[in-house]
Amino acid sequence: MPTGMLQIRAISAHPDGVPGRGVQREEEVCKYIDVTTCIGCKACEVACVEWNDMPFQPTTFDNTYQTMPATSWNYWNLITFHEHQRDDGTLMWLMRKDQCMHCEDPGCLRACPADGAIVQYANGIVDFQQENCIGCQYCVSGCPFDIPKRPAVCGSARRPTCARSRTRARSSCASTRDFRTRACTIRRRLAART
Amino acid sequence: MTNGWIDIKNTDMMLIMGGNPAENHPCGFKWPIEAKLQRNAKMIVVDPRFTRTAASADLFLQIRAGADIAFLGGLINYAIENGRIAHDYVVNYTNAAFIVKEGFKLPDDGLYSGFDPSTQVYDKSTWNYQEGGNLTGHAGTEASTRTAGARAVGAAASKPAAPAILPPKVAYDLSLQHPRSVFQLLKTQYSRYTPEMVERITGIPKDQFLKAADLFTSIRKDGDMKKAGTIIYAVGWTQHTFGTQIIRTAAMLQLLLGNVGRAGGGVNALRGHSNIQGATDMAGVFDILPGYLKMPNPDDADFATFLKRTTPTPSKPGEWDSYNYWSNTPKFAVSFLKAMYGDAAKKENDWAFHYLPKIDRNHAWTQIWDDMYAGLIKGMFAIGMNGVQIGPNTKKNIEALKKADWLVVGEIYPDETSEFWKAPGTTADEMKKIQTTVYRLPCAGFAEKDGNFVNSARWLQWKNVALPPPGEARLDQDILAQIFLKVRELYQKDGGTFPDPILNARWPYTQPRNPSLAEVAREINGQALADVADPATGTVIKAGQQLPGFAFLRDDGSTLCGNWLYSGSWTEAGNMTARRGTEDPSGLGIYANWAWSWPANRRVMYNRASCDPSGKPWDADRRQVWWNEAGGRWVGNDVPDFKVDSKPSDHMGPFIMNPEGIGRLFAPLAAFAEGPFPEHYEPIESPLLNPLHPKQSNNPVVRRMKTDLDKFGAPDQGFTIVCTTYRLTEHYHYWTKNNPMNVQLVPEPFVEIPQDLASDLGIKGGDKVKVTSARASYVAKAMVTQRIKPMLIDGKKTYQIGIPIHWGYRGIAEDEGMTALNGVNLLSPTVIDPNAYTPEFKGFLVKLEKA
Repeated sequence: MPTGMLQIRAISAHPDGVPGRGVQREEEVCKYIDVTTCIGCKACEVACVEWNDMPFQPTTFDNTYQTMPATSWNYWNLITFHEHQRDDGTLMWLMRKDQCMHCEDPGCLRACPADGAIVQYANGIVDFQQENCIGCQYCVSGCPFDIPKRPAVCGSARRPTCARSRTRARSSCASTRDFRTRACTIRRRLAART
Repeated sequence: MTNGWIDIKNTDMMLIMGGNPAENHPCGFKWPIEAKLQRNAKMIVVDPRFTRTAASADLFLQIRAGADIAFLGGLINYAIENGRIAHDYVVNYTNAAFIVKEGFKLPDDGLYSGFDPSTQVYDKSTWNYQEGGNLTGHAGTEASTRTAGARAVGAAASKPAAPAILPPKVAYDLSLQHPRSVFQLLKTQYSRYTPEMVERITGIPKDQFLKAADLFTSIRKDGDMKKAGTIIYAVGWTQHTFGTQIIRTAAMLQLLLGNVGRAGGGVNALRGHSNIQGATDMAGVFDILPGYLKMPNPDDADFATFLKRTTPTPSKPGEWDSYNYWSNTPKFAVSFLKAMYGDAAKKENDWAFHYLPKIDRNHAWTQIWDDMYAGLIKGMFAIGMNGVQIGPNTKKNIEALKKADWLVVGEIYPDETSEFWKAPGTTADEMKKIQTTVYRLPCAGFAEKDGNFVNSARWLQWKNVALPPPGEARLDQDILAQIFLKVRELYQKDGGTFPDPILNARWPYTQPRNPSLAEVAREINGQALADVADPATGTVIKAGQQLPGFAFLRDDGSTLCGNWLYSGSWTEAGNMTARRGTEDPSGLGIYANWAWSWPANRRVMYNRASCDPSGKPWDADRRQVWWNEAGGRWVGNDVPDFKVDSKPSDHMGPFIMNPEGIGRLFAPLAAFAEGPFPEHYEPIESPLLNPLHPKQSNNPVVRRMKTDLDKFGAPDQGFTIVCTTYRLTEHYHYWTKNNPMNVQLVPEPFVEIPQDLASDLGIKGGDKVKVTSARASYVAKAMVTQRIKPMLIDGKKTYQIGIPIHWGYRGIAEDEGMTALNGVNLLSPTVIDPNAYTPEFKGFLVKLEKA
């Protein structure tokens, strides 16, 4: 299992306990997204595609600044644009970030029946082990944010790898490296785990 | 920028207008966000569209494109009427107290004194100060300026006088009460810009305007000087037939509020390219030499005449002092000529002054294409720019290129300009008739070159080569040097009309055929040709050494310098622009050891104005510079922008580049083509007549091109919709349509259309629409949005639409036939601002239909 240097906290459908569980070696982190300062520049979308070496895919105009309607199996990070009119007639243009939120209690991992296909590291990062995936798509149903996606041509579902090398440097996914207004950062998780 | 990107974090109040930094400057936009987060600064955004910048704003106002002066004039009126001005700053640091010459007339009818309708030219002799002394307490009893003016116009027209100059001693009234004081004239001028008038012209409802005016001027509530406000703009202000005057109105507002020279203040132009500031500094425009030295004209019979014309003399109240920094013009000019012509520039031959071209007419961008269309220009080098796409009036540029003999294009992609001959709509027969020879030179991209980028904050930042140019691509200096050396060889061999400037050009580079930019940068910084000493410090720079700064420049031929403003950027200590020190002891974001900022590594210009007249900072928490009484010097966290030993009691003005030493609320004489105070004029194509003066609706001295292809539309021809053009954060001009990643983000061109207009016309999002101006049509998909709302302009419902500029007929989607293969500048008009010669890309008229 290519987990690099990270310590595992949970493993999907694994019969035994997690080896080394309880040993706290790493600082827990979480993704901090400040939607009040996100400017919708989409640099995080580009960083994600480039870092993960995902292919160009044609998009079509859809009466919006949003790149595509939803994330896809090869597009893991999407800024969504929402227009909202306040009661006084003034407008709000809201930019929201769709991507893996690294849930404390990951629905995908809970739903996954394949041993070792989804792991959660001790530092809180949730990761996908492609080679263990059986293509059942339970993770697709299990995710409350609609992030894991199954490609049309290939059997197994995909979700972000979250660049393990980056996590250690406190910059988990590539998108946080390309911030423009510090809208998205990796921060130390403050609340104690229950 | 008078200030810099990082300095925006020091602000308390932002007016972002004529710019969209969240989209077009997303990296820099972290600083406005920082000001909001750390200082609770307020952000007001005024734009024709609700942009991604507007999404971050505390207050957004939708303005009609081209109505900016009306809005800013309204702010000036509000600030004066409500006493929200910086009184001591205005009296001491601006020309508010100066008395204007009798005969000067304000433009109630749209015209200042001295206009000649037959030539469309102003006699500007009344646009001047009155000579005299202190009139404080002697407020004149003369008739009001307006009636006095009416008399003087006739007088000026009947008697052509010698070229007017500024008086050495200016009459002034420190009480600001004299009816011809600049302050009273200013007050009268903008008293017409009432909230009601602002609403009629801009379409911004009165209550919203008042909310913005109250918020922006609130920093000067009750005379408090502690807070600072900034104005941030970009080409949304520049690209109008009165663009220069919009920026001037902003500068005047900032002077009235005492915001110029201060941390968190200033008038801040956001540059749209990585090096557009450097391009201007290094005279990438036709009418200046490097460092903003003036270009010689045919009347400059010799160097002395040129210097006399271009070197200002002080003009100020007798009791005040003026540094008049441009009095150093001879030193800058001689050093520049030594850099150009080396040993061939000698005292005996006027430092080879006659080698420089003399400008006898306009060679601005739009004029060049006009001249080519007229057959006057036969060939063109287009390196790093896509002239067909840039426009305005793309069709005219294509037709002009068809008439040229040759075109050389240096690019990294095949672009529309190099393929003008196969523009959509060109038939095979037409193509056969085009005789223009096109040479395409593959050039290196930005990451394949070293050298300096100069950013909006005036920083020169050295960059290294990331990778070598691919294939046969060459560096710009490689291409240009070889062309130059070949031309020189031909002159040597065959002679020519005037070979001297070419044969004698200084070319001292180690590799003449491919000069290193490091060597060029050292030359631009300047070197001593003989030992030179600084009389103030006694420091001696030996012959052959790099100069430490422009204070060492001489007019006796003992120094050379390619651009005096950049002197100090590459000294004996090395390449200052490559420095990457991150120390910021003051916390003001000065970072004095990061790169190098012109002039003299100063981060905020005019920073003497950050102190009160006695030399103490207006805000003790943001101390930039201050007077040190014990040392008898100006010192500080930033480099003082001042004569360092001029004590406050000398009353030297902080705006040392003006001969008056003060900031100009009134811009005298030839400073601007259309008048000493900005006046609202309508865009050339406007949906209404100017409510201020319908008989003089447009800028009276505007420059329109006049060929058969220069057509202009009017509302009675059905052109009733106001159209503006802009850039998206996802694309970079006409380049990124070649890059898959950017194409993926925004795949094809679109037209942003207000919901109401779309439903009037039965248009749905994604439908193809045709936009037509008097010049051409443009087809793209409709983006139906509530981010542009219908407006009431002078009581009439008016629509605006917006079109991003990024597509053309070469690119990934274009080559696959995925888009409509046209460029938006097919639509834009060939009419230009009379000061900066920028075309009116914003706010022209179109009609819209389903395609």
